[in-house]
Amino acid sequence: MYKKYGNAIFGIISRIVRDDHSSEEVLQNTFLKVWKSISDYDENKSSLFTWIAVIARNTALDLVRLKKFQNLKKTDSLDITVYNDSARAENISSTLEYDSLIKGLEPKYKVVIDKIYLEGYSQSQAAELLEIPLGTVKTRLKYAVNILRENLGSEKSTLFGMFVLIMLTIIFFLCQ
Amino acid sequence: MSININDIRNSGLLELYVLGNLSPNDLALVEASLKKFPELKSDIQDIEKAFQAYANMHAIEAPKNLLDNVALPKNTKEAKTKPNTGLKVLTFASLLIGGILSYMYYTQANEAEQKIIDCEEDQETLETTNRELIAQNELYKKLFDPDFSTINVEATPGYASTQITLKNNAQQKENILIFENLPDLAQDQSFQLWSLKADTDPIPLDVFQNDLDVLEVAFEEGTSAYAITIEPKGGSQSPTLDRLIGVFNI
Repeated sequence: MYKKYGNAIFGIISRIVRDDHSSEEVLQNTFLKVWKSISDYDENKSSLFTWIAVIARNTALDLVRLKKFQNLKKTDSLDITVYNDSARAENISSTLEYDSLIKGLEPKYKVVIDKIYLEGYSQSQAAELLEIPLGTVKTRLKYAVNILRENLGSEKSTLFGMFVLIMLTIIFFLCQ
Repeated sequence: MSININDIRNSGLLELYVLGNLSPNDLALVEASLKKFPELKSDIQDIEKAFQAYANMHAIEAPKNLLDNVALPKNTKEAKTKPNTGLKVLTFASLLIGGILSYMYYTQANEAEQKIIDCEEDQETLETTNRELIAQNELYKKLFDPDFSTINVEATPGYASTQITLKNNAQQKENILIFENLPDLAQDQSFQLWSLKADTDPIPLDVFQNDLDVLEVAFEEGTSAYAITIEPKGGSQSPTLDRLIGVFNI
């Protein structure tokens, strides 16, 4: 489970916590919580990844809320972008796949999904931070997810098309 | 007000449902909608996949050995619902066998301890007997020692059948009495030996019963004769003359 989801979960945690040592601590606590409460997981309600991601996000936000932690880390919001850029540099996925997934996702939508999904902001917090109305945040989040769904679907279609093409090529050569 | 499926799809609640960010009221609304419109499940799954893909794109390599040194608790569903029966049986059997072996060991240890105590008592008895036999042997040796003079008792008329011999060694200052025939004693009586010297009162010496054949008794320097009387049990300070059995004239 850790091998399968650890990197993606660590990406979420790191963007919320923004501290390497604390991020590892949260990651460890997340998987301990997962292990302890695995009997509570209901596969009919959500995927395993979604369930773990919610636990990770809440665990990370709990840490961020700690006054001590907040006092230690007095970086302003400008650093978020810097961190995101550096985080992208550490990204283990290929640029091609990334570009394919976010194709058509304008920055104004991307920033919303980043803040809410990757950085653990609530919609209200995101609205305040981005200085846009709450309704706009909701709409942009919805739109951003739709773009991702579409790109994911087209990515699958492309893969399926490639698979069919390869199979037809094989059949063609076999018939020769 | 009835909500149709598109209202839910367009509300943005499904996205927040996947994020786990819904208020209790909105959560109840989405869950009710999922029951009412099962096809929403597919929307939920698509949103989950989109988020997961986005998370994968933003993945950061996690430390590989982060959980290696973590003691994971054994409270998974399997652990709760499927207890290790084999292990329980093995534990129970081990405890049972351990209990039996402990009881056997305890019993054997007790028996062994009792045997040791018995042996120690036997050893003590044997040592005592051995010491008595050695003493008796030494005593018998003296009976045939030529340095000892033999003096037979001169019994009084009332106790004429009495036969006692005194073995006397003036050099070694030792006296031994050999009983061949003694008068009967009542339960509250004892025999007592006296030293008789000229111009002095009889000196009380050994007090004894009639259960011995040979007895080493006190030697009193300057004694002209030894006498034996029957006295109240435990002896007396002055002899009961009407119960004088006999006299040994040195």
